Amino acid sequence: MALDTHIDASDDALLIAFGNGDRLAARTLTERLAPRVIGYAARLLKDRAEAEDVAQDAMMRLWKIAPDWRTGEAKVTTWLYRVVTNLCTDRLRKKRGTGLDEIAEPEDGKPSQEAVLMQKQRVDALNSALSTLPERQKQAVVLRHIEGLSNPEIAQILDIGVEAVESLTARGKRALAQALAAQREILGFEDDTA
Amino acid sequence: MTQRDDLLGDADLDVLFDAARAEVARPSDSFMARVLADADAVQDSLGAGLPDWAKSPQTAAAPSIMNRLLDLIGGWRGGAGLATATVMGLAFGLGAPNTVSQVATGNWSSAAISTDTQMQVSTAQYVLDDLVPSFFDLAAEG
Repeated sequence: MALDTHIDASDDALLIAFGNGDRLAARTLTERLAPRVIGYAARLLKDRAEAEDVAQDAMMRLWKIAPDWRTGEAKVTTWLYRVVTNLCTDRLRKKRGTGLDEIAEPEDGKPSQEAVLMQKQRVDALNSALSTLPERQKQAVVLRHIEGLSNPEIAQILDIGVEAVESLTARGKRALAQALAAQREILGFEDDTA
Repeated sequence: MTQRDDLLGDADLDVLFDAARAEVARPSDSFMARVLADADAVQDSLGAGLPDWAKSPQTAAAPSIMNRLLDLIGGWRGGAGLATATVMGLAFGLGAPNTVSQVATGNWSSAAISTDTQMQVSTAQYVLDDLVPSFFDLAAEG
């Protein structure tokens, strides 16, 4: 498969091409999927380096399953989110013994403009509030409202019913709204509506 | 709907979600290198169980000397052309001596002989049979 056809190809087609010996397909898939996988893992783990380890592990599993992949049975992204969710859950369970306070905070950026600073402040506030949620609520909220997945997709990833997903996201959002209410002024919502 | 002080509104929450969505977690170079090395390793192991023709160009066995020679002359088409030319060359080589000796010694068909001068030889008319290669000698030798 030529490089330009890789860009237009679906995740499914690329994975099958990889299974058939196409090495370029691996690069295209990694460039396409890695940012989402790392971003999701980083939100769950609050540690970028650890998120990359999880993402590498998940991609390795993807390469191994490629020869057996069947088009139309599942979306590659849904499968990958599910693997990442399980890998992160395992890591968080192991970490629980060491205490949540020891989990590293996200790296601080070096904002040069007011807007960039505000963006960073909002993301940090959201991530801090997310870290106070129960694990399943956090996963459901991130998948729904940040990764933009549908409720049936999230149900597949978390291996629960659609109603349970709706319940988790609703409770998660309410908890976030409570946790962030006190920071309303410093998060500059008035500036956006003005 | 009145806004409650103890809860952030949906619109404000959406602003935060948008901010989070806008952050792209670009993979580091070392991450890309590690993942692609994993992909190569998996692909090599997948190729190990396949026949040569099903392997990727990178993992397929090196071509044999015969295949390399065939490639040099343009694949099987070139090979077929070369074989035909060889057979025809051999046929002409075996069949031609009779014709050559006939032409060189002026031993052509009597109907076309002119005895006036040597120059007239060039204008002599050959009978078609004089110019056709003969395998008589080869056949006679057995």
